[in-house]
Amino acid sequence: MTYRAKNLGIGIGLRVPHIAHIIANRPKVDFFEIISENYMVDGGPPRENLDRILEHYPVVQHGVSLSIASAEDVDFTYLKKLKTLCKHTKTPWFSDHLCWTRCSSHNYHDLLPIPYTAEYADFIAEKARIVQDFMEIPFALENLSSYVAFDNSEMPEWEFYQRVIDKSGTYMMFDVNNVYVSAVNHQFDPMAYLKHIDYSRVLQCHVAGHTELPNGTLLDTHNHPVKDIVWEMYRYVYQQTGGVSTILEWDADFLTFDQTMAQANIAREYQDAGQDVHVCKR
Amino acid sequence: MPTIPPSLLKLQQQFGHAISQPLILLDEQANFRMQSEKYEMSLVMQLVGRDDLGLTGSDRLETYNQQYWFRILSTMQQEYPLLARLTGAREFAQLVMDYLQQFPSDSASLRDLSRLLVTFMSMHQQYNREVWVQAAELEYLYIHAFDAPKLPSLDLSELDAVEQEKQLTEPLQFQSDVRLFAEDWNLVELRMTARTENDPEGPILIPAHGTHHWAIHRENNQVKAHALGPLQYRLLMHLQQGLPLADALEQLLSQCDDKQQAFVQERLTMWFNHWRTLGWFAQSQQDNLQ
Repeated sequence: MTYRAKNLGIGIGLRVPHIAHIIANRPKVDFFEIISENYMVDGGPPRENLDRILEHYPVVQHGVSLSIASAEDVDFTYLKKLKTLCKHTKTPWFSDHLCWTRCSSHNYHDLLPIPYTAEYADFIAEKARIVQDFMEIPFALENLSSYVAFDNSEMPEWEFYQRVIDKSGTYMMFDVNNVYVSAVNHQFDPMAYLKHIDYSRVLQCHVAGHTELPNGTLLDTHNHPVKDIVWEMYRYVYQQTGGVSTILEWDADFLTFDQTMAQANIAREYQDAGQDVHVCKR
Repeated sequence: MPTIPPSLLKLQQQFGHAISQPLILLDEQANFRMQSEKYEMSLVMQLVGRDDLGLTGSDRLETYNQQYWFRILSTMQQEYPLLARLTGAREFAQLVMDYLQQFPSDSASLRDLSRLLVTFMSMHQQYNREVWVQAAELEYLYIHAFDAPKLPSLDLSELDAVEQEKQLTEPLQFQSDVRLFAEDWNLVELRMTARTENDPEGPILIPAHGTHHWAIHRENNQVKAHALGPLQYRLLMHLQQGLPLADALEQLLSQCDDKQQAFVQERLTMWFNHWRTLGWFAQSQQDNLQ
């Protein structure tokens, strides 16, 4: 079985400071990515703006609140709203993070890590399988950037990530910057991570900038240009996938729209080889 | 459904508790220190530090603890610029932390974070100052008005005589973004000042006491405050409470002296035309189903 994930090209995360410019000027952009939760509302300006964007651009959905790694059952109330939005946007796939954001109905509004154990991987994989079955479109999980590691982890992050994907039959939203951030924070070789990924499962890529704290910790802040080393890693990922839809995430200290697109288009310099359709195993 | 690993639940409860530990505020600028001594040792011991950088498991948790409050406080400051100015930076941060200790966020959306803020402030004497509570009420109405869905507008002028007669005897449906608000310090103007002044941290002068009436609503994707006269406000209140127009008008006029009655009767059509052009009235959902 294969899933033919179209390479949508290069896009950016759709953010409020750019929406008026996009609607007024209709700049050339291959596609946009939206944060699903910002549009899972009954009405108001976000939905009106989204509809105007959808008239002219392909849109893919990326979520932050599925909380797939929470120690709780799948939240079907959330999924029903998400599915309604997916049908509206006609997103070819949807993604969220391999993390937890909620515990005992308390939302922490952050992407939080867990120890990398076989038990937890299998628990998450089963939930991810249920989610994908319910949603009826491909579901991609994004690798997390993290600032803590747990001493009871039984395997490196890439093995945990791959195990969840393989056991659930879901896909990867591969965030190259997150690999680098975690590699620095937890002192592993980012290329070791990249060499252990099954790229036939990667539906989409993220690139972004990060911030270094005075204590040496890297934070995934999405408010700086992508570092050269991350672009080099992206070159490798792009070659391995044979060409994959790529989004630049920029979420704070915003640049103008044109400046943001210029940052995103740097990706083209690293796309030495690519093709229109990336064949994924199913 | 898969079986939930008990150890995962315990870990997440401990982790969540640690990263939402309130900050200790040190000065009026809301500089802070972490309460890392309150992290559970059994959790800290599970975390891998970094010897080369001198980072402990507790330092690692602090990063999350700090990020948690930065995100929450910056969101709240953005949504409540007036309240933050009235209270000052330190008191505002303390208010938000105290609030979330009692009412932790139960929604995936940060837009819902302050849903119970006014309730919380009313429950606690140190925050229950009238001007603060009214500012919080007003700023929540701005959030509500921005997010509220709109129904198709009702255009009274397009209705035939029978339908117009019906509007007199049945409750008018308002668009859900339209909320009426009475306050005592011209807080709408003060909010504008708070948002546009060059010194966002400086003190703000509270104007003289005096009642102001507003309709907070959304127009062209922007939230606006429309000033109302007291009689307009009372009439709209009666309508929002579900009275049909004829009854609302009768109730209003019964509370007016002769001069006011004449004023209302003279201006009523003009008022309604204006409110209609602002799109405040919606077609009833029953009409939409037909």
